[in-house]
Amino acid sequence: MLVVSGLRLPDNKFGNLSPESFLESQVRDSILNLQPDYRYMKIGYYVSMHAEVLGNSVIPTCQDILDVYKTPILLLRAGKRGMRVTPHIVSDNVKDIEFEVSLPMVIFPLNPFSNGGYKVVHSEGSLYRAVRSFGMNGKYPVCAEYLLGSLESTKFLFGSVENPLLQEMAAEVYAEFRLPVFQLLAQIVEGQPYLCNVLPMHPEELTASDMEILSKRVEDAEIQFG
Amino acid sequence: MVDIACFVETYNFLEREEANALDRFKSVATELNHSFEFISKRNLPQIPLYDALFIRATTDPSYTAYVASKIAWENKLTVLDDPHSIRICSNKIHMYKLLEKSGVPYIPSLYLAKDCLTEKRINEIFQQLGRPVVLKAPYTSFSKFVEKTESNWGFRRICKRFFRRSDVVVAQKFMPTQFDWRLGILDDEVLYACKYFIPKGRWKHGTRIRGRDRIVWGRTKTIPRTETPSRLQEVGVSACKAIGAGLFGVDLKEVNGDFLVVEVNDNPSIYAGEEDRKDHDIYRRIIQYLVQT
Repeated sequence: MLVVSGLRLPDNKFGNLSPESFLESQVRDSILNLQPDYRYMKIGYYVSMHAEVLGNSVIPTCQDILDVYKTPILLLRAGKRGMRVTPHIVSDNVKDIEFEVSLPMVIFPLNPFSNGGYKVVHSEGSLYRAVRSFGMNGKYPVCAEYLLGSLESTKFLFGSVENPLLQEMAAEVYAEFRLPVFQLLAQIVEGQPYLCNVLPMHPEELTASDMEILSKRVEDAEIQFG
Repeated sequence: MVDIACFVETYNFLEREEANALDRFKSVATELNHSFEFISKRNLPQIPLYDALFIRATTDPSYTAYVASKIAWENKLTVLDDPHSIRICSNKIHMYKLLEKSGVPYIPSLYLAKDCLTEKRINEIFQQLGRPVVLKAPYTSFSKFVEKTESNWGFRRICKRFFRRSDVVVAQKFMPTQFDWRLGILDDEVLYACKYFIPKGRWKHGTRIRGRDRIVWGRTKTIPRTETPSRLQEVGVSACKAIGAGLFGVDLKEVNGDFLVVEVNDNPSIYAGEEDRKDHDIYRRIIQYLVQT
């Protein structure tokens, strides 16, 4: 297994290649693509793409990267797996949204220029503004989720999270999508976690202890390639 | 009877020829006893209620059309364009790498990552591809985000603009021709063939007028598919096979008697009176594909 990463892992017994060097290479090996940000057309995405074109097994795949960052697809696939997901609707119309989902809500953008933001809305006025701004004046729809409980955001490292309440759900998310690093957003409703969304992580958010966890988890990743 | 949903955006109805083509799809489906309804981004939750989805809006993994395609795919509908084809054709780097892997002849291309934009690398690219070079953002469509430069300064300036959305860009050999071939290919069979002419004094089919937000298009000449060179068809079909199954528009250049792939596009434009001028059965064949698969 070869680790392709822009992160400096403190202890890595596997070879580590920078994303740029990997893109120039013709390496034939199982590839663990370890990046804080896998968004479409960012370097993390291109690493998985190049690995797939070379015929290598890769974690994560391009398909999973695209699906995980598109909120309705994330929720659709998670729901099919039997995970708890929040009730939601995809639309560009405030009336349709209000008909399907009651206030308060969390609004996620689906426009191509968004960078993982979201808005919690408590009134029709703020819902209208969120739909207009995230939808870029009606050009794109938004994903509106019913806010049923408290929102929890946590660092997700190979299916591990700090909040024990979210641990089981995090393991399920990793089993389904196999993205090693991101911010997991969930709602806690009557003590039960509901999957809300997945957001890219900024490299500066990764602490020294996070890097140590990543180093340890890299070894487990080899087993996943079989 | 099969219930077909056709995903469109408002801009699909702005040009009369495109709106007419959509009407023809609907009337052909109705003649064949299938229902054909237009749906938009407002109707995404209803997609699982249909049997097939036909996407006519611009596809890209960042756009709503991809969400529509993926919802249909996850719910086991027949879908044109499927998420796999969108994923590959919408990113030219992915597309060229697959053409390379399959041995399909295509325009000589190099890739440049954001962190490798150095004077040394720029010189290497000019040395390998000659001057000028064509720079292409991976998300290009309708001739947008494709620019030509012969200076290092211009190279750097264009790349910096393209790097705002993509961390890698494509540099290609400049190969001027009077026209590009366009083959419409469905399920590895040629549906229609056109020549997309380059406007006089320009170098690409769609060119923005300096200082204005308007694009001038070269004329389109349609050729009956049976009258196109067999080598052209062979290269076009092999390019599609490298990508996947579905409906594609393959652009090719004729250079020294052979053919080089410029691009493989999913969701190729179909305008009434242009692509369908010689081969009138394209609507029927696309509807039949949606119904049978």
